[in-house]
Amino acid sequence: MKGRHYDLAVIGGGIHGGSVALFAARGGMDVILLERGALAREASGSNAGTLTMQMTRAALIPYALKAHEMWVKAPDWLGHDVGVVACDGLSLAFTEAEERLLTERAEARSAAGAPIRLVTPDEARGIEPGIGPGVRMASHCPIDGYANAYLTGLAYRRALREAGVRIREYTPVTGVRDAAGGFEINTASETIHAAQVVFTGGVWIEPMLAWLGVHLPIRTLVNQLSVTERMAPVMRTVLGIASGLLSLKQFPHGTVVIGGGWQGEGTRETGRHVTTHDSTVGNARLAVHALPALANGRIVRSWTGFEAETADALPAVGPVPGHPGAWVSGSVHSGYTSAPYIGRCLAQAILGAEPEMPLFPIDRLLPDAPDPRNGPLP
Amino acid sequence: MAPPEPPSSAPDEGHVVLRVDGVAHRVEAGQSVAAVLLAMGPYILRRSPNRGGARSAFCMMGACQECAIVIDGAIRRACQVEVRAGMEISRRGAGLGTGASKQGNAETTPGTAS
Amino acid sequence: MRTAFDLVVVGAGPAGGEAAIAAARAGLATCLVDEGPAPGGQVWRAPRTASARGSGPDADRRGGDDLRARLAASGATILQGAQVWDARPGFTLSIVGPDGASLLSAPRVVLATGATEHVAPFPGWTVPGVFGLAAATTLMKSQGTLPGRRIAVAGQGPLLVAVASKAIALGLRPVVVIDRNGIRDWSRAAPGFARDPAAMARGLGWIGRLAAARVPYRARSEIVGVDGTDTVRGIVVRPLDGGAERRFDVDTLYVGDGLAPADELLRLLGAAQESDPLQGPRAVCDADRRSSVPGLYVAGDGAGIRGAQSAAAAGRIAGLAAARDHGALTDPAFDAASRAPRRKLWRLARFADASCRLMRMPEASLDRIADQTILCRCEDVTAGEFRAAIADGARDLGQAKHFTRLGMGPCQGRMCLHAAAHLMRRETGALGDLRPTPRAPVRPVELGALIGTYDYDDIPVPKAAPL
Repeated sequence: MKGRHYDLAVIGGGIHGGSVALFAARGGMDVILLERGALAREASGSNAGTLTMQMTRAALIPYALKAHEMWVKAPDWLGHDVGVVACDGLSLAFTEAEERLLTERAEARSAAGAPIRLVTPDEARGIEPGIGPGVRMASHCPIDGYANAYLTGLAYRRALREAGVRIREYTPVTGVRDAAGGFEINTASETIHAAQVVFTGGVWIEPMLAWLGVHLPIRTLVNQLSVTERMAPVMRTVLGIASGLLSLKQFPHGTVVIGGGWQGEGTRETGRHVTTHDSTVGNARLAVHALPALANGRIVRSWTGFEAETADALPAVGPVPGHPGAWVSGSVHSGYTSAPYIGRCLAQAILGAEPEMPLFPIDRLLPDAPDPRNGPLP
Repeated sequence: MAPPEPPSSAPDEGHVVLRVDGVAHRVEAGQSVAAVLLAMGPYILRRSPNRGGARSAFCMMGACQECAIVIDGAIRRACQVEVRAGMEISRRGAGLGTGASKQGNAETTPGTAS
Repeated sequence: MRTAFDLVVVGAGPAGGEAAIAAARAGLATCLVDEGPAPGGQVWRAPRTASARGSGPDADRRGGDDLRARLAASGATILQGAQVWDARPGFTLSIVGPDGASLLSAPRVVLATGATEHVAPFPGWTVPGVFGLAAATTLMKSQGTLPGRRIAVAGQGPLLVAVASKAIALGLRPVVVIDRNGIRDWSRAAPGFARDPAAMARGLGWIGRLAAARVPYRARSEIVGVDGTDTVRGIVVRPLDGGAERRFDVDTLYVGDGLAPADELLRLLGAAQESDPLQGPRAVCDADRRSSVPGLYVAGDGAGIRGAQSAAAAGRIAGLAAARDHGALTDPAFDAASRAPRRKLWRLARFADASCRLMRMPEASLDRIADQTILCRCEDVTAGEFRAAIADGARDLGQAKHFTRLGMGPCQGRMCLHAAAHLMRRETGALGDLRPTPRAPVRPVELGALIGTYDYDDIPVPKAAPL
């Protein structure tokens, strides 16, 4: 095998790290992927698997559309099944305020390229007969769907192996520093050298970049999900509401996953996260309100996962300033949806090419940069 | 000297009439739905979702969920529910999805099929 | 609805019942939450039908009736038919019950959640007509019936003999009793059993009844498989020490391989456990039943399998300790009141060890699980598929769950994880508790019950996600 010097070391084995590693290896690089646990066991394996445009930030719609196309064809480029189903998506409004929100958001997203249009309750009912009686308006997008997120680790593990990526699971990285010809990466048992390094540690990209003295503030969200036991068919779309605080889908085997970003509790520092009573009940109420037939189902499991968010809630994807050859990728809102495409774009940059679509450089988010939420300073 | 029978353990007197798969039955009060169905026979209460195997109650303590069937429209454990007059019981389980695909199930996960 | 108490006790078997009585009598505002229709738990289950009452009270019934009467007089608030589906340290307990969803809060909690029965998977253990041994006792105690015409009783431990004997009393003579233990194992247990003479006498009575009915007894034997798909037509039995397999025509099989703590809430609350060779995962606790989580007390089989009498004693100590820590009992009063249950626990320790030793499932029986045998009943995952997931790189049961859906069904892994963990340790050399992270709800919870009644406008929908 290749010894201890690699063209690229990827630190963090979620779907972002996995995608960058995969496309860099396919581009001819000698890649090592380091993961402190097992592949895709944090956010990438525990998210709702929603592949929707209607919860994606408008600025990310072009990426999400490309990624959706990739997901649908996953067997072609990934080579393994993650249970992707393409279907219609509906976002519902139950109040006047939600109607306004829905209208505004449908316009912004369709301006960004998502084929979203507003429909009447009757039209919505034609698409999804089971929706609740209180629907006042809906937005419909024919490009939606979902993957079976918990299959991500297995599918990527197989694809990465086939691409020749060296996978090191249960190998926490203890530090990274600049070294001659690239970077020195330390684990408990060895030192690895790599010409380039990419940090794809989800909410942990903040402590990872600190190894290089770069401070990128990352907020930690604790998203909650629940799943029912198998039910007879109750729905055929991905259902949400205008505010984005609900996502519902029924998998082919009958379970219904209830999500939408209700918050549990937990901290990045402890790595522990738990559901809260109020979020479980609130999210369940919203779910039954949107789809009354769920009242007869049973929740079998609720769980939580971390989501990373930058100050402007836009991705941190690009070079690490001041450290040529170091890259970061994460904090992509609706990151599961867009990850394969963003990973491919970043791999293009790492391979020295122009990425197909622009990256999201982090200079704007660093402390001495102007606050991105306030616009340019005078 | 026997203590007086506390009310919590005193069974209802007599019988109740309920329906099993649409057919009316008169059964002894105080029984669990599972006890009624097992006595009535056959044992089968539902089929397993992946392989369609016949299943019946198993642990009778509420843990195994094998006896979770449709009782008054909701999925309930027959071993934990007492019979009530007018109860509607269906010997079928929680549902099998669309059956069109079994993605994510052991059966079709590549490399794990037996 | 939010309701505050000084103490919430979860589980109304011997341990929880005694804990609630002790604490309530000491003056604590005590709430006892229990899933069943009446206090008593599995072992002291109340008869629910006229036929069950007609069978006449035995020791378990008398124990239960006594507990129910004292509970009714204790002043504790008793919630029956109520399920705790989530718990947070501090403590808040999420409940669903006959009155919908609610939250209970208390600075102290006693967990007395009892046991789950283990059955080592064998081909055909999912066929209708195969039931647990504990299932048989439940049916006989609460319903006064035992399904089947030609029954076999299999497994190991005192429950095996109890079920076979009580079946005879109901007029149902087993076709065969299959025991993984032999006469020597039982003889070795005798000195331990002698520590509880009443229980020993009951046990000898059971054995006497089996002998008098000339029930065929296969010592040191186990079930190889069940013949039949939709109904049981027969069972095949294998002697553990070699020799020919033998088939028996039966329509019903009662089989049990010992008990394990129902430790879901304990794990969810983050209380420490240690592995005990006899009791399995046992809650770490001090002599006053305080767990590693402040304010959390443990008693009964949920903290480590010790049996009903020990559970009652430990429950009483836990209730008294909670009362003392709450300031409702002085140290001398606590010492005086806890002396008797402490002595009882000490006296019963060897009895409990002897029972556990007889109940323990031999690991060799798990090693023999064939690839085509269903491991996860809910999701129909076979042992072969599980072994393939290990070959694919799964190193803990959370990961194996992702690869195969093992443990993702409504039983939440209760029926399969014990055997699966054993297979994984065997195949990978992994050590320790390989079970997935504990999650709420600890039992499946009906959405309709969970949501209660509400107005849409009152749902605390968080602020909209960024556009």
